[in-house]
Amino acid sequence: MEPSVPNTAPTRTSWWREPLLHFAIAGAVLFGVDHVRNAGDEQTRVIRVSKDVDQEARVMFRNTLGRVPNDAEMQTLRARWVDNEVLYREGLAMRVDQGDATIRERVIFKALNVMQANLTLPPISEAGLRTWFEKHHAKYDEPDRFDFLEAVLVGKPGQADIDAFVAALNAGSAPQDGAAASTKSDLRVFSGRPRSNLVASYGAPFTASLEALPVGQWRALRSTDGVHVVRLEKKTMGERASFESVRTTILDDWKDATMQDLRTAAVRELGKKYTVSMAESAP
Amino acid sequence: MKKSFAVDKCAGSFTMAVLGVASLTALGVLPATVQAAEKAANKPAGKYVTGDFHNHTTCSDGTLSLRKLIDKSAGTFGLDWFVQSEHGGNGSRNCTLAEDPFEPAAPALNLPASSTIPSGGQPASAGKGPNQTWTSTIGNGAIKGDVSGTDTARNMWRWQMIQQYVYPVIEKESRDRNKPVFLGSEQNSPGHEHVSAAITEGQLPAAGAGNANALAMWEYCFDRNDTDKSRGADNQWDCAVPGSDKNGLLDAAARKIIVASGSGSGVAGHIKSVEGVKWMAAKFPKTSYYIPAHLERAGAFNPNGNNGYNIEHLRDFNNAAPTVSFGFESMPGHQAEAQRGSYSPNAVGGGTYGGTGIYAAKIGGVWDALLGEGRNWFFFGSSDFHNRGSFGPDQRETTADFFPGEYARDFVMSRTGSNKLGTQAIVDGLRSGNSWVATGQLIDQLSFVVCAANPGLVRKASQGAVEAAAVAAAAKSTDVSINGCASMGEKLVVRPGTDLIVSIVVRDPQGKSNSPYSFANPSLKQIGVTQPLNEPVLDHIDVIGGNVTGYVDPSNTAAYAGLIGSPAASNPSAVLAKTFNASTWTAGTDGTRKMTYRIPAAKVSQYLRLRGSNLPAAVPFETDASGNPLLDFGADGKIPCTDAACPSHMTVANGGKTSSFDVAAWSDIWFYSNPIFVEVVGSTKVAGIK
Repeated sequence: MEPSVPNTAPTRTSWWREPLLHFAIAGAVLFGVDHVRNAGDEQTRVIRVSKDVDQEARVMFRNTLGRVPNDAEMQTLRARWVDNEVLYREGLAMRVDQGDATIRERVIFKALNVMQANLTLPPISEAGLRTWFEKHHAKYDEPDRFDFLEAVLVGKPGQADIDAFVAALNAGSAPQDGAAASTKSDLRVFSGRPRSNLVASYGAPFTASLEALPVGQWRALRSTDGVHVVRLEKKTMGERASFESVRTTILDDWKDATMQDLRTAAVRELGKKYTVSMAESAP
Repeated sequence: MKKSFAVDKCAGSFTMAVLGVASLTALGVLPATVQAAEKAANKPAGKYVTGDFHNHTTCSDGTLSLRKLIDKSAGTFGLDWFVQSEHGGNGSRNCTLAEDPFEPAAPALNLPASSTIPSGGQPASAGKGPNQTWTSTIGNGAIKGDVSGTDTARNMWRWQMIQQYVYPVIEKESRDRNKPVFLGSEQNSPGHEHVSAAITEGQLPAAGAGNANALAMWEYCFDRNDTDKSRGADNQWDCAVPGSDKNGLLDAAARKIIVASGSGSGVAGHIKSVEGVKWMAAKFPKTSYYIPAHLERAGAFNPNGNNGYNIEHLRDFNNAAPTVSFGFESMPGHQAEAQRGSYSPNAVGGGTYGGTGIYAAKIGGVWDALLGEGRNWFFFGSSDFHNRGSFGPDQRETTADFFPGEYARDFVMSRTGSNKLGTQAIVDGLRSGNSWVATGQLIDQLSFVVCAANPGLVRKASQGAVEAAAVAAAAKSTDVSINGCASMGEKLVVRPGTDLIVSIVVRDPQGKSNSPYSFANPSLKQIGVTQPLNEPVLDHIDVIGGNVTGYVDPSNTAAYAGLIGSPAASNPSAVLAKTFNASTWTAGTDGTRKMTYRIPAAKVSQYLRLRGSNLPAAVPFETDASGNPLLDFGADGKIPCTDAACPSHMTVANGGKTSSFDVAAWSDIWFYSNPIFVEVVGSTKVAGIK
């Protein structure tokens, strides 16, 4: 039987007067040990302080203060845990967890952890790992990268002004001089931007046009958010990753991805016992 | 001199860099006939001082005592001034009691005294703490006004807290720290959500004991959640606004407007809020402020409830009391929450943008619409500190709020001359608009000035002299004070055709920020940039400019009122006017960045304002191709946090940790300045700036 609160602990009366929610050392981590409650304990009003509580308190204390707690300090730490447990149970009884997004997220997270503990990663052969790598190699390849300049267009110049501006730039003018007052501009420098970044920020057509530009020539290219006047400085072609050079990372990623799939399947399986109804969307 | 692609070093090479004000005028650098809004000689010396005016303790829904919060803010994080606000209404907990130190007490643990241990407070053996109730600590008999709460947990009305219990603690803290620490209130605004407000009248007198009676009365009269009808018990307050035609709405017994819930409550509530602002202006025009907080968070205005603000409500406040309602807190607190700023997708704009609400974050949006009228409407930020989320108050991580001064800071120009910094200088500074906000310690000095160029002087000399003055000002954390120049919140009056010289000097501080993380910024890692989270680097500064076209008449409903994106809430003339970065500014070894340019031949009245970030343009999920901040929700679960040191409290998506909570906030930091106006003679008058 787990020991109850030791007789040498501070009296209950003084516990109620202590700042229960401001445990400087424990912060919120001590709740990690709340899973040791035995089934039915809530109903019997029994609070069990297990060896897990002591162990976790010692670890935290040592991590924070650099030494193990003495007996008096352990008493205080246990008392704090008991106080938090009381508040937790009282809080559940008062249903203060209802409607609290943070608590909801935390419960979901913990349920996921419990479920994950019951999942077992299947073995994978070297050939299987290679196949997985081939399917996902884009994630590991060194991407194509682009260095380019942008002569930032100021104001809202029309196409004719932009064309004149580009011509002036290619003839040797600086961006700040502009071909006309309406096309004065500033300079942005982009170094080593991966293709995916450009596609996301400017769109695929812009990226394709940039790639096709002769180096050192200014052009006005249309993007998903308007025209940008750019000059390609350098293209660095990417490299396909070799399995051997990233094998460790691939194995870790395969494990994460497989566990993710297993978790999803497990949740879906649990979900089969629920009936889900969707509200109709507004027209 | 034509600038080349290389960094322009012309300004930095000037031997005129160390000129005084008198020399500049004597050399004819500035045209003698240009009229500035205020003569430099009339302005006492000033300094930018850091502060926060929106935060909470256990007296409302916070988690700390007054003392501990003040200690963190004015102590640990070194703010120069601090306004302790609290939700209005009532509360059951006694925040005037300090936390117990950890038992055994720190000296027994052989630990050095830490700035995180609260000053004063109760001895551990007495077993007191700020979560105890007023009932258990002072007794129900001492609680005044209408009864609220239960016999075991009676609520004390906020006006009594302010007047009787909290103010004395605040005043003592201020005296002990020799810093202005004073009281404000986060009003539950009738018809809306929240407002950061204060009335400093009576607080922190030069000698003797002060009081916060004026603030207490305002809270009783105008807070939506103060449903006490006792007239403040023995105070017997009457909330009538001098000369108002709305005084007929006052409840006969409570002597304040009581808004019924339900249909029409938003409209009726707004009327009461305007009355509150008028009351402040009538009674305390120079010692109060009223700044709507996180104003996009609760969605658009709801005529039948208490939600957010549309632009017309902000215009109403400013029209009613321009010396009191002069800006908004569009950069909210709660910057480390999963829903950054505590903005849900139901907020106007769907969330925050680089930590700022859409009203200020969007070029050409609400803020620019108000500035485009020539209105004195300024930008502020705050911590809105409540708690650290999953972490304790003495831990450096947080999944909810940063402490005041830890992440966001308001830098406010306070002109005290040789006198001590006090409440009046702070309020005057806030009202002046000569202020700026920075997060993550992105910059800690800013000098932003617009001067009229002297056509009789060569361009280089003119610009160099202005920049030298800006450099000197930034180094002293002050502003340029020269006739013919204007700083933030001011206007420069010029003849048509005058060239304008714009000079910006900032300091990107060396060393480490307050971020507890030193691993590479995950947002920047996406574009191949390695930058430790606790050593951020300013990437660029944008200058945003727009035209001033005059105040909109309230009777012109289409131009006065509307939702975001409507003509009323837009300024189509506002554009990104200029951008500076490492290619175009001059960098000093001490972190200073200076940049100066000329706007030729000003023809129309206009304004300029600044923003800057550590994030360049086109950072996935963070900024668009023009450098505008993207919706923070769009980054949820998208930016990998793969460094081995990435903390365990990060959100996990697709099997891996992603940048979230405080890491996301430290990754994405900004500064915003307030505007400088230019009034061109014969063009629209910038009526809101004197």
